[in-house]
Amino acid sequence: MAERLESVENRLKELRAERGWSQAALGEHLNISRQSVNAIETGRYDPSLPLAFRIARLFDKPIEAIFDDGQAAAE
Amino acid sequence: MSATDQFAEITPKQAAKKYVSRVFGASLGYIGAVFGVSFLIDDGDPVTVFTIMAALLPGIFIVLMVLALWKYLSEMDEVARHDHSRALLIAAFTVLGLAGSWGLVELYNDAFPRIPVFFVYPAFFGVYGIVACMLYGRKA
Repeated sequence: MAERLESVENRLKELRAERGWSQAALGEHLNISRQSVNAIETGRYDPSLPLAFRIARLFDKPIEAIFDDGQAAAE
Repeated sequence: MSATDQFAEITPKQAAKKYVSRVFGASLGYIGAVFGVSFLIDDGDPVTVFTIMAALLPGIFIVLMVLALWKYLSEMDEVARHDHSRALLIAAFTVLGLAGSWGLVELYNDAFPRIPVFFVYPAFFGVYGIVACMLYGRKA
């Protein structure tokens, strides 16, 4: 049986706080709305690869340093 | 619509503004067309090509409203698109279920009132609007 994909955890809130940005400010950098930033931070929505890359570039970190699907440690 | 739409020049606020202005324009056209057609056609008038064409006129503005929503879906960011797409599906399934069930009740029971098919449109957008607010507005 196919394994069900679980939600990916992320450090977006933490990284945003480090820069002193509000959700709205981060949304402006990424060209997404404040509600969308909230949805990603709370894990309600996992971003697409293009958006994940954009987030990674904005914080100057590799994607794996921001998003964690919980599989890396298990492997 | 592609996954890279969120990198478009247009911001979410601009997309929402454009959507509202498009729908507002189409709504004004729709109201004008409904009043115009009601003024031109009386209940007892014979059916002609003119009356059929006139009756279809408000429908053009309904199509424009649907196209405005389609355009908005392509301009909003991917999270909003995800939630709005879900809301549209939920609205479609809800209205299909209700309309189909009511249609059968109408078919087998003469005592039940006939509801014009026209009401599918406002019912669909009513359900879509409520569900979209619930999905996109929630915190987690």
